[in-house]
Amino acid sequence: MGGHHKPTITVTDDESIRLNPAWQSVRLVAMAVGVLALLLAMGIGLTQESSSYFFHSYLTSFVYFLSISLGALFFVPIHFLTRAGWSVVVRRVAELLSQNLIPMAILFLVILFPVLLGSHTLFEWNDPAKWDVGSPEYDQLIAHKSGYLNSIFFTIRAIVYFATWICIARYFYLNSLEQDGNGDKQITLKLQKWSSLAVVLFALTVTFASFDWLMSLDPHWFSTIFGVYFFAGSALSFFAFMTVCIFLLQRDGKMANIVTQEHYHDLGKYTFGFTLFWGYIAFSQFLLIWYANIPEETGWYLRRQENGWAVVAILLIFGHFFLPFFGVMSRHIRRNKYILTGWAVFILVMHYVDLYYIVMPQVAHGTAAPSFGLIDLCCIVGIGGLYISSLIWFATDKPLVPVKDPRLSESLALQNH
Amino acid sequence: MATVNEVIDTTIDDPGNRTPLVIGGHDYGSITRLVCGINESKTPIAWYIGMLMSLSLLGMLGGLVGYLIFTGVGVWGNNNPVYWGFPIVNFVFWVGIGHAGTLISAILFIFRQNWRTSINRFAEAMTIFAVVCAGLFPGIHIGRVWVFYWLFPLPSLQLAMWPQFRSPLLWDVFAVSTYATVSLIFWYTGMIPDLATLRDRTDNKILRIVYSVLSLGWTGSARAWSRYEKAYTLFAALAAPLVLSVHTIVSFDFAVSQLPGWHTTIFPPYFVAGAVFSGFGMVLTLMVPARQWFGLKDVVTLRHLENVCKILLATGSMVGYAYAMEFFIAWYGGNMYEGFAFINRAFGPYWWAYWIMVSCNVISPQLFWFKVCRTTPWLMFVISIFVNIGMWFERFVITVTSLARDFLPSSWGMFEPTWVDYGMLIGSFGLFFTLFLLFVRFGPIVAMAEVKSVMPHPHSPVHDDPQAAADHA
Amino acid sequence: MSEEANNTEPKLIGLMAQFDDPDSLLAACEKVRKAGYTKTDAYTPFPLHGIDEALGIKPTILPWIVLTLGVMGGFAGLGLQYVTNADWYPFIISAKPVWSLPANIPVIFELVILHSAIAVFIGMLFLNKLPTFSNPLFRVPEFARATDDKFFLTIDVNDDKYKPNKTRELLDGLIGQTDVIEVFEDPSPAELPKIIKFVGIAATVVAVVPPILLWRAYYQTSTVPRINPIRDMDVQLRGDTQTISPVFADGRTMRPRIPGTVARGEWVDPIMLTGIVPEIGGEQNVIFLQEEDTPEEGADKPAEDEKPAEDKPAAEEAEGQQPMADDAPAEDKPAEEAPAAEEKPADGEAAAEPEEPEPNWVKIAPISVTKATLERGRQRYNIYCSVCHGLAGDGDGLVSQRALQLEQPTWIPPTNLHTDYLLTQPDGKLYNTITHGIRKMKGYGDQIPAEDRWAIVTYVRALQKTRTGTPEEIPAVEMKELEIKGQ
Repeated sequence: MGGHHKPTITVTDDESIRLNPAWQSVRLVAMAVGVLALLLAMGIGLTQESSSYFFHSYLTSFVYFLSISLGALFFVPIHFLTRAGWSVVVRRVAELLSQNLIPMAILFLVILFPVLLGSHTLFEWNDPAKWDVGSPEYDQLIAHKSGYLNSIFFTIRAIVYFATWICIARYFYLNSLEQDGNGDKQITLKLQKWSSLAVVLFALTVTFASFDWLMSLDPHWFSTIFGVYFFAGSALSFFAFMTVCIFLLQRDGKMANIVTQEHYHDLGKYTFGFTLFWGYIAFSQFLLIWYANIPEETGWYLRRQENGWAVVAILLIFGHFFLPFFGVMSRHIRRNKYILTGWAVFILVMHYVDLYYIVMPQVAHGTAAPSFGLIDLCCIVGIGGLYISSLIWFATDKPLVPVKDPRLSESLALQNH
Repeated sequence: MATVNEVIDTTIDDPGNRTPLVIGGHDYGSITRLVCGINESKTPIAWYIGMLMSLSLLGMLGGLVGYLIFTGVGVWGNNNPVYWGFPIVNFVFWVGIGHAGTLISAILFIFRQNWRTSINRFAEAMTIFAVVCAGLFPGIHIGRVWVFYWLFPLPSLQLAMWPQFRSPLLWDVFAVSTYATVSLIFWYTGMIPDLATLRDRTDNKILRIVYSVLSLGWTGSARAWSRYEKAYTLFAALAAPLVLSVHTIVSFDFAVSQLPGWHTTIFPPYFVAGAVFSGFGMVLTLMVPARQWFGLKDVVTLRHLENVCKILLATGSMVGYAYAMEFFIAWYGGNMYEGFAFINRAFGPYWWAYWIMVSCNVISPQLFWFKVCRTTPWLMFVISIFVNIGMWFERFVITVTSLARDFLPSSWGMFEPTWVDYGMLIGSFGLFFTLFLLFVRFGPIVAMAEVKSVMPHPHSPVHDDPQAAADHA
Repeated sequence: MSEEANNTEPKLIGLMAQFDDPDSLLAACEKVRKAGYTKTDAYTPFPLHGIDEALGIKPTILPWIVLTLGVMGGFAGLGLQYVTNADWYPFIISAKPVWSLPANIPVIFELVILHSAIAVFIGMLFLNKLPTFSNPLFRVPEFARATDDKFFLTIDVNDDKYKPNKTRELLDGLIGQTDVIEVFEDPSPAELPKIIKFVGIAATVVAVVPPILLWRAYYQTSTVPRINPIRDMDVQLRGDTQTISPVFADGRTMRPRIPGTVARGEWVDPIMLTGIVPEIGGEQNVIFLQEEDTPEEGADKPAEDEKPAEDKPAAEEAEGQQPMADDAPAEDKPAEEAPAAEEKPADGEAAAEPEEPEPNWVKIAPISVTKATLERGRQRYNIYCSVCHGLAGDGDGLVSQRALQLEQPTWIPPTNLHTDYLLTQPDGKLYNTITHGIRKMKGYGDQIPAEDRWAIVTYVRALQKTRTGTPEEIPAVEMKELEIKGQ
């Protein structure tokens, strides 16, 4: 590997690595559809007897797209931290995906405002009656946790999370753009240096964000591995989403000869690896709780095995693990961008099912059967529309490849063996 | 030829160029001579001294095992309520150390980390020997060693029963024995080409026969290499999840129970990170002096050591993350027993063990944030010793504090290790180092073929020939 | 070298070109392949990337072998766990189902990996035809550096394209080639030396002997006491019956039953045991059990119980313990039971304390009455009861006859079981009489198990039926049989 005489390949910053202008109309349509769908979802959801379903469904879709951007936010610093060579050509796409944390912060207000206003339709712990010893609804565990689970601290933490994420995303992105202009190697060194801190901060914030927004939906339940579980799903969905993005770009004839079969192969390996990792973490969490059989913990799984949720659980076992695991196992499939993208889309669907399985059984405390209705559709189309539209907005007029990265030629010459 | 001794600081990062993995102007032949020279040279006195010390410790271990078998497991400090004392602590400690080798040769291979080639053989050997040490403890803890086969999925004739597959301890037997088997054949497969090199170089008739048999008639045929490389990739793909599973299952031994401090879902990845951490700690402990003594500084450069340090920093931080999560959830979960277990760890009767663990495992690797610590061999050697100590104490803290203080205060008790406990811990190092010294004397301690494959190709007359160059293009 | 080899006239099997650097070898391989040679091979000290394409080496089938073996390993793991734990020894452990898939996954996973890894190893060796210790190439001294720093390309003489001079010319013309060597067949005989064969066979035989001996010893009986090097629990300290135990203060090795407990497996339904339907429910069961145990404990002093034993049961104690709950029934009962108490003297004997409330006797024996039960009852009745009550229940058993003959003044004749008093008595009371005795009759509770006592009760009922029954009550089929017998 080290021995091949590498000719220095360069990429010229021209139309071939810019977004197709046709996407601008997609951006506008996505934006319009997104806003309308969200308004429709709110219209239906908030006029219902209980707005609980809407908020849970909104949270599912919100976390779904957030997790893709968080995966990207993990990928970029890790790329620098490990001095990775192969991934230079796809790094810009990840950087752009991580920029979407900014619109996600705005979309989070839909969840944050009701909490601040004292609503406890989504987060049961926000009900002051549960903390009050005198109240008939007094809940000792929620009262115990009220030092952590209260609307003020929740808000402060959310601000810290988003501030950290946006800072990291902007820092890496802006420096990377700067390098496109001057090709300064020092920038790479600087980003390498800060990447370790970024990864540490990422690990902590993502863990607690997943505790706050997903685990605390059932304020009695707890699992130390939950942050890792959420991270595994995020990273997996990110790799799947990036594969789809690059496939779409290449369909426009962009990045031809830059992203090759070899890069798809590597993306496929990561998809495969994180499928396995997700399965490992999910199984570990389940096995330990199932085996020890402690009531505080098993309740969470019990709720997800009754009222028809067992079907979703089995769907996840096969759809989120076994099928993609065997599907992406072969190197011939990983090297075929059409099949790989197909699997990526499948995994993205399954990632939604995964989050749905985490969030939705909390509606009506697990007494409702799983259902997928207009509200869910509107939420996912709404947030998805805004997500895509903002992604296109960020990508417009930017080179989609870090053209002057010092390791670009290594990435272009990638060979799997 | 290693005559030109360029001084290259391999730790300087140049994003445009990859740092060479082998320095000192080596070519293929000189690598062979450098590595085989270790086996072919006259046995140094230091080796005999080391071997003598290791053998005496091994002898002590053998004596203690005999004493244990003839007297019974009462010679240990294990008691009620601390049923699991030093033996399981030592077992988990050694299994953890045994994670580095396979991790390096499998996971770093998958991630195309070519620097692994210089240290993987060494680390794999260490893995095997650590697993041997680990396997000793479950073997002897059963008291009646002659029925050790009950550990395996065979019907026990006396009981007319099969092992009970719902027990995590049985999963452990499967995990550790699979891991030992796979590591062994992976290690051996990797050694076949190098054993062939030793075979083709030696003049000693007996050694030649031994190396011939061990290298199975390897010729280096391109067709054989093609299958060999595929096999290596497959091994890596199999060993990577295996290495995760082994310590995961060891963690199940604890985590499927309901004991406060044992039952927590982070255990599987936490144990794996801890195992990698301790394994790399031991790699560093052995590698720093070994590269000095065997003159391997050109192959195992400072950059290699720096990378190991970075992995230590990363895994040490993961372990710290797990400690923090355990503590947070112990409070957040609102379970009073769980909360007590963690307070008790930090401030209870075993507070000293806890704080040794935290300072060695979480705080000491943080020194690797500083480049000077990552590039000063003696300093990293010292830190690696701390890591080894800390990881032993981690297992001690988990095992003993939770058992000594569980739900009922009336059944609390303290654990007092006996001299046999201490002797066996020390003796297990004798076993480890005896095997290790034998290996460095008679086996290829650097994967020569792999190192050669990551060296730049030398200048070829083909490139001077315009006709050939045109053909090639 | 080649000349020396020629002297023994071995067969030429191939030509070999030597190179000093990998790129020259790659170019040479390319050239040889383009020239149409297929029986070629290259030898390198390390895996050379690009050589597969240069030589035209096809991808190996190894991954398929591994996948197959891996899947088989998984099923083996699943099957092993299912068969042994769910089928052969289905025990519930840690409250898990006998076949609990989540708990089986770790072992399945490990076996997949183990089988796959062994398949990789064996498969790679097999496909590479290793071990092959004898190879003509090893006889070429230059070839020793194929594992060090030299690179070789060979062309087999059996190649279709092989022409002695042309091939040689081709190899000579390769750029970077430093030597061209002829490779000859190994002249040494292909057979294994006899000594190796002999040693091999002998070693196999010797190795097989100990297992056979062990196997034989394990399965054969022998009159010689077995050699028992590891005694496990075969010989150990234990307390024998009637020996003195230093462990307990009273020195008894055999421990008496702890009051208020029931030994595992000896628990019997309280109704079945006492013949009384508990009125308070729940807690009373415990009291019944204690009641039943007391006579066992103090089995040697029933004489003290002058009053009828049936009066003593639970209600009395329950009253003491739960006066609240017992209040209401205690009031109704005396009135209800008064006639029964009055009837008793008609039997010729004064019942003790008529004010004592009658327990709530079971009306009908709580066992299923079958022919077998009756048969059992008859047998027991004939053994235990008939000596006094007579085989037909007329109160004229041999003992009684003899006592009357001797005109024993204290002898009270046994009750005739066909009296109205007994005909109307509930089964429970009859049972209680058998258990605890009445007046001079001793209790048989200690001798006759509860089921048998009930069997006796049913048999007594059958005896009574012989006097009160009508022919119409006999089923037609049996009537016929009786008629046949009668003729």
